Amino acid sequence: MTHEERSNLIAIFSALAVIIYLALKLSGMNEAGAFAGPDAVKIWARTVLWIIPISIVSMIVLTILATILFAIVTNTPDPVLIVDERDRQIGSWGTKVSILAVSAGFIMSIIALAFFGWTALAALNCIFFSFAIGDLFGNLTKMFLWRRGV
Amino acid sequence: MAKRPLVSNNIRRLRFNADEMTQKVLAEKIGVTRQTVVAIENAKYSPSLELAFLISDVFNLPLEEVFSFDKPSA
Repeated sequence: MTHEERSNLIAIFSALAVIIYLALKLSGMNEAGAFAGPDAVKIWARTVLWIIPISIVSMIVLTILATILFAIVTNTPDPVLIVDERDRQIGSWGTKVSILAVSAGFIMSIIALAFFGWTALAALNCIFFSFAIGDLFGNLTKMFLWRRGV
Repeated sequence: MAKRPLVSNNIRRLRFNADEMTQKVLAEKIGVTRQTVVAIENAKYSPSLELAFLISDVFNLPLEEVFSFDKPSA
């Protein structure tokens, strides 16, 4: 498994952890009535804003730890950190899938706002989760292509 | 997406003829990961023209002796 594949695997687990954590936190806050008042969008934004840097930092830390752990387990003090043309080609496929998922989520939110009576908060949730799920799908696509071939 | 490439190669045979060069050594010489060499050998990835020339250069052979193009029947 290359460095890129390992990093991708960590990104998949991180994305899953963020999605589950955020879904539980936001639904908990919703049940507690945190989003019932006029400041609902502000409270939501402040909650979500914290998640973004935390998820980025946790992913960097996990990638470093996994690289060190892999080097210890496989007894390779100088792990290969090359990103080659195949990695870049697979990465571009992953990005395409991510953009597709994000676009679908965004359009769905707009339609739901326009025709199905969704609140702004529900639309924001949909857009945010489409980013998280889009990232997950993109990484899963990359993993599939690394294993099956481009 | 995962369709069989039309470009095939003799890299595996050439490696064995070159003092049983390992995939790792070849990968280091051409600046890619070992997994990319594996994918090229198994026809799961068609390298760029630049990479194909680099591989040919390692074996001191012209490109057409390392890679061949299987023209699809009409």
